[in-house]
Amino acid sequence: MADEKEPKSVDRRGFLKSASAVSAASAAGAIAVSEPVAAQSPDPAPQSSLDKAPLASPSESQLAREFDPLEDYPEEIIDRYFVDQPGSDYMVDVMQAMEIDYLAINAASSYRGLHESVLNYANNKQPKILTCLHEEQAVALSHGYFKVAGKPLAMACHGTVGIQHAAMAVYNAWADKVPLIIIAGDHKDAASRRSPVEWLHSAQDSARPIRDFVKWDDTPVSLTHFAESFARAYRIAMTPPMGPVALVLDAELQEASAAGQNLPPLPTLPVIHPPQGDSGAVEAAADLLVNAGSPVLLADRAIRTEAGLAQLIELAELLQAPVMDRGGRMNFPNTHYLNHSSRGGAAVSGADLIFGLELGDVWGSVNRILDLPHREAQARVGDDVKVITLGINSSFMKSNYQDFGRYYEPDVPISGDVETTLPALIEAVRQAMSRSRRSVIARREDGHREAYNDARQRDLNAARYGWEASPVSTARICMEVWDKIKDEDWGLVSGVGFWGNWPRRLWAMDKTHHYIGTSGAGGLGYGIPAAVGAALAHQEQGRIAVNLQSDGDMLYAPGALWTAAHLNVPLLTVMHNNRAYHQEIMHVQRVAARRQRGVEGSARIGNVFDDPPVDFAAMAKSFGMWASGPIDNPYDVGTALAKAMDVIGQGEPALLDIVAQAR
Amino acid sequence: MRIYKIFSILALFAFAPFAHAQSDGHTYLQFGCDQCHGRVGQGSGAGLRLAPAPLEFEDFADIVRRPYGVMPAYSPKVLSDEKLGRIHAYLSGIPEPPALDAIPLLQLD
Ligand code: HEC
Repeated sequence: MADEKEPKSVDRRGFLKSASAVSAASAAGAIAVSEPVAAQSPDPAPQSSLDKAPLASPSESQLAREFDPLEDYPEEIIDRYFVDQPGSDYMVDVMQAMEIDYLAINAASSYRGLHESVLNYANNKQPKILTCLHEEQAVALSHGYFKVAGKPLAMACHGTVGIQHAAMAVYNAWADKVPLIIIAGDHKDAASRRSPVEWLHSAQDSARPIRDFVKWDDTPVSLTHFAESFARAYRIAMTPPMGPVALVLDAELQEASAAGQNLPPLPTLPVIHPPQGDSGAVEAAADLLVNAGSPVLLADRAIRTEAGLAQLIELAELLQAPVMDRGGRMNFPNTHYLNHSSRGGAAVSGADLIFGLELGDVWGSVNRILDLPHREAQARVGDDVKVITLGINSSFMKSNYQDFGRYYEPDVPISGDVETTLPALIEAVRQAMSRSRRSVIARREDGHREAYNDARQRDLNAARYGWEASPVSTARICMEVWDKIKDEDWGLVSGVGFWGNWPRRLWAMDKTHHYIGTSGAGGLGYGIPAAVGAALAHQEQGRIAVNLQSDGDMLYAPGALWTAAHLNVPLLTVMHNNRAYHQEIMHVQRVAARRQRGVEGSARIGNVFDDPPVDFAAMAKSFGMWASGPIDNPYDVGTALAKAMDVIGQGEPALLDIVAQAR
Repeated sequence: MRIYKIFSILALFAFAPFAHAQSDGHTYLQFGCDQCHGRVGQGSGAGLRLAPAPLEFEDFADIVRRPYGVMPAYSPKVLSDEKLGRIHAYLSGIPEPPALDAIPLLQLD
């Protein structure tokens, strides 16, 4: 893309400025008159505009674009006031080479150089600025965007006050195995910090607050270092196990002129080949799977693409093994008779073999600890159950935050990316399958269909209880929404654990983009900004996004509503307005009952925010979004949703506030 | 339309021995039963369906006092028989929801 841009002004002043630029970015090395790169390499990588800038004899067209007024300026004025070819222009070249389409930002002076380059060098095209009103929102927006688009955007913030604001959202992305590219500005040279603000906004080690939950971070001291570190950061973030990375950008490196620096060719976009599981382990797994009497597949953050989805269906059908989709991603169509997620523990308890695919909590899938005063472990499965795991996420972890779960040693642990390994595993299963095994396995199908149909009937029947209640039941709201979106191209962009899981039980989900999992670490303030990012990615594909939004989460990050209105994304937000952290009421009530005390209703104090009730429609309207509510009559929901869908149909966001039951 | 609001239900049921005039669900909410069992006892991922037609009071009370699984045990010290009676009366007053085939939004297949 850099090539498509008009050549930047190539100046005579470059000669003058280059000495100071190089001393500012001292690690950049000697001043060098760049050789034409084509001469160095027969197949040159894309060049930065800086490299393309010859240092002598500007052409006529270049001269035409010259900054004419400067001709009248004395050199010392030019030197004092103007900077040509700032380092951050080159940074933008690098970001373009990495195909970074957006920069989600909360504006901050420590990266003003980069910000300006994006606006006036890249013309706010690639990357394009996404204005966010909080760093946490910028990160969560990036998180949601990636899970739909499958490619990362970058976010930028202050290295000090910004990183600290961003931290919770970074931890969510880390736990959810989502790549983020975090850019944090800083003022490294103490001798050049001009004000108390720059001192307050500087740190020795800016990335330290998030280092426990990023895969890698760096603080480049030259533009060459920046280019290499950006490409490396991209590679590290995007190689499964994926995760956030951070680059700290010195303000001076962005702002000083890079004219005359001998910068390397722009890096090429890393090609990622995720690791495939060991062939011996794959064969051993295939053998166990084929010979198991009642294998069950548990998939969590396993599937990324439609091709991967098709492969998992193929494997499940080959083995006639039901799948429990644990919901980290959309792993298996809920319209398929082998999706037994709705059967809960019953689907697992009878298994003689459990196959976990990128399963976050293996121990917790075969054991459990009930919330009773004595935290005793119980097995969910029989003693002789065999466990196979396939995944790469557990192969990279850090010490401090305990998101890795309890230790468990499977019978066959396969370290490899699920989608990359599935073709070999399917082949190994075919090889291991004798004709007689095939017919034994085929006989399971009827039973699985029956169990699926029974579970579906139970779900439908359960949905009718509370159908006419006010506050409105979660089942009712979800089915009213489904009625309005089922003929659209849609994507659900929120978790639905507090919504009785109704969409995952009753909406027809058969595409990976229909559902993108949850926050990862349960840190609030993820929902609405992640929904905005996901909606942006859906919009690029002509889809509408549906966000079933918890009120508690919304109150952490309401500014994201403004970003949605500003970007004008077709995002339907339906409020789960239950005016409390109900989960927490439940916890306090449990403890009070255990201690046999507590006055009636005391568990609500500190957990309920109904007095005064928050007016979410007014809030959304104040951010410039169409909104309606609060609605507490279940028979008003459909009409209000129809109006909201009219707005969505115009490509705009809408919010409906529904007074809803706890879960 | 058979809309009901919890705070306007005034059903009284003689078979709940400790039934009180107050059966509007207030006690049910105050003790957090709704957190797991739903506002109208419809059940959720965290607790079974209790209504309509809850268990007979004796069995009902027995489970609340000595649950068989992960539900917290509410001893008489914290939840008296009288209050439990009110809860039972409330749940007994929850009407039957519409039949499945009477709900167009649930005709999916
Ligand atoms: C923290 C969640 C929770 C809370 C709070 C809770 N329950 Fe339960 N309840 C459960 C679960 C789970 C079960 C299933 C049995 C078990 O696991 O103990 C259950 C079962 C029951 C049953 C038996 C239902 C059946 O058909 O077998 C009754 C009756 C009951 N609860 C009443 C109540 C009442 C009344 C309250 C409030 C005083 C209450 N529960 C509060 C979780 C809860």
